[in-house]
Amino acid sequence: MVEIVLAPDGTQIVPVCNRCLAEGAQDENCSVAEAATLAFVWALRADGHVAAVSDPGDDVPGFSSDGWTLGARA
Amino acid sequence: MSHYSALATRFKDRNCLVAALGDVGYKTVEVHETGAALVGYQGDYRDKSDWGLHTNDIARAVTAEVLVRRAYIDPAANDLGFARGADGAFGAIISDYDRSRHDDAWMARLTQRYNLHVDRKKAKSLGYHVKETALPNGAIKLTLTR
Repeated sequence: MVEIVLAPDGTQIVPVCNRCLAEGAQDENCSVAEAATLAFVWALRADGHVAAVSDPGDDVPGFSSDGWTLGARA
Repeated sequence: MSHYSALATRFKDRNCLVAALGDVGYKTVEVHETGAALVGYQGDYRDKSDWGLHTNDIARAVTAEVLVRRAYIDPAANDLGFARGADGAFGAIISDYDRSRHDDAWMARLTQRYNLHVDRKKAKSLGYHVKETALPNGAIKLTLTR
């Protein structure tokens, strides 16, 4: 299952861990996001539809601010 | 017609942009492969070499590939356009007069709807079923399952 929150400010929010974010990985053992979520995000990024704009650790509303978020704006 | 200004976006999928414009109230949208002239409320154009200059020469007019004609916005409005840039993204072309209605909040709403269409399209192409849930804060949660 993949869950993405489309925020009213145009940001897309998905839970991604710092390591997967940094490496562009799809870690099946990732404790934060399922591989399917990561695969979907990378597929969007490959098409040029999203770009990571938030550094890992940014406090993105909608998820607990534990540093495990990626914000992406169209 | 007041001065036109360009706003950068990451809108790259034309069909999703048209759908998003429909979601924010613009059901009639023109799409032109090679662009069409933007028309101001007085029926004139803006010179592509200087977006503050009036011209009646259509060959010199500012153009866009995706347009919402002023008739569908407001009688006093100017055409709204989206022109594809070198990076493949459609930049918004909005007159200064219309920035109050097409302000940052409007662009954010348009972006949210655009993202929704892109995500939905991509999800379906990957074989996902898509469930949308409206959240109280105005956000939309997409749940994708196979």
